[in-house]
Amino acid sequence: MTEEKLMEAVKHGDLKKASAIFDLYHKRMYNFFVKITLDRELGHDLTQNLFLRLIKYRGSYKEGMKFQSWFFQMARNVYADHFRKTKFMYSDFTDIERLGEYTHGNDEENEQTEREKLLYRSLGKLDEEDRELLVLSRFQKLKYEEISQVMDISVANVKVKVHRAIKKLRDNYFQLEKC
Amino acid sequence: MDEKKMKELMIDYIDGKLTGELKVFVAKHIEKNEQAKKEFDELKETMALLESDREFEPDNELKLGFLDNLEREMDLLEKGLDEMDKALEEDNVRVIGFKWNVPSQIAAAVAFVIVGILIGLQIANQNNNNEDLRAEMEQLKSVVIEKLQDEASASQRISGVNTSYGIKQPDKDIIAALVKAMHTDENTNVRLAALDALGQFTEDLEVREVLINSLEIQNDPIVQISLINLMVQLKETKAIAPLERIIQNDETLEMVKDEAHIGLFSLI
Repeated sequence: MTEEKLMEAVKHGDLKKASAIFDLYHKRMYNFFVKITLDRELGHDLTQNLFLRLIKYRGSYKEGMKFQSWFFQMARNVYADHFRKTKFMYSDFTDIERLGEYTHGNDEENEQTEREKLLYRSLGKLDEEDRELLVLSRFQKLKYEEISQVMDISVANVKVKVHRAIKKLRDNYFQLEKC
Repeated sequence: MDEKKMKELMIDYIDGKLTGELKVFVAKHIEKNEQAKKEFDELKETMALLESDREFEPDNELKLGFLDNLEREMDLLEKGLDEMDKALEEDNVRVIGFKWNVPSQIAAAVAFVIVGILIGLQIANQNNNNEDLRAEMEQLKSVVIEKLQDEASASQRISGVNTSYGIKQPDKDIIAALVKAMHTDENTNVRLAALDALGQFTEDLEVREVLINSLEIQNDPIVQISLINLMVQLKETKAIAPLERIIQNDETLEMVKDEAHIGLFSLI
């Protein structure tokens, strides 16, 4: 069953099918939120909130629409609502250094490499929109056409913005490396 | 070619998106130009850095929380449907109760016979008229219900809702069909039309009860907002508690919460 069919079933009251959507998407959406907020606890809460919204507002899914685009749009709204409520747009990123050590601090496999730290710190220095564009295009591997739908901007504009974000990331990265 | 355009091309080049002559052109430019080579190396390293991203594992709490929420919503949905069934059942019980109340039935039968004997022929014509009226009403009902069940066409379903305006007295089958459309139709416009149509029966306490319960069950934010506005219009104080719960509920959309706040302010 495709994810679109699953969502249609949920929309028509077969709520159990939401579990299958959760299994398919929870890890992905959790990573989306963690990487844009650079905060694992907040990422957890926003993911929880997103799936609640999927259940509650299942009626707003338009049949025939690509589920992934619809769901990422919803995720962006959850993120925007959260920050509108808390009145500030950025997490203070105090835990970037420990982002990869969240659950098993001493586990060798989970130990965050210097490179990862550098990546997340460089991302943390970007503004919200640039970080989101890189997360969607490079981590979540969304095509420019899909990002254009999710963010409601033209495909050409997405491309220009992603390239600009890469260049800004480059500046941050080399600046941090020199430190 | 200007430097800016060249940088754009370099990113496409690193991404492997260039082909043919353009690819050769960019490769040559990087090779020949020292500044371009530095730029290229830095961009390449940055893009390689992006590959160091690791997928984090959420903890089990996420799934447990989700399953809890899912169960709650399933209960709510079931409760909503149950209440609808209960309202309809109560209607039936009332009819059946009348039927099996023997003394009333005898009295009614006798009364009918007497009245029948007394005014027999005089009302024959009127009876015919009433029959016609009832048949017309039945026909209207079946048109409304049939159109509301037309899954293929939202405009047919809206037309079904509009036909229901021809029925002056609340009818349980029509009300049930309208409530179902308001809660479950996939099209927001059909839901809104059904809500408007139900709005003409707000004098009926059962309809009003169903509308109050719908505040929390409704999962289309636009319809939810219209319901809130209707409660304000009706000055329905029984909506205060559901509105408070809507505001406290984390899963409610901000725009719905805003409307609930305004509604609450008007009702208190």
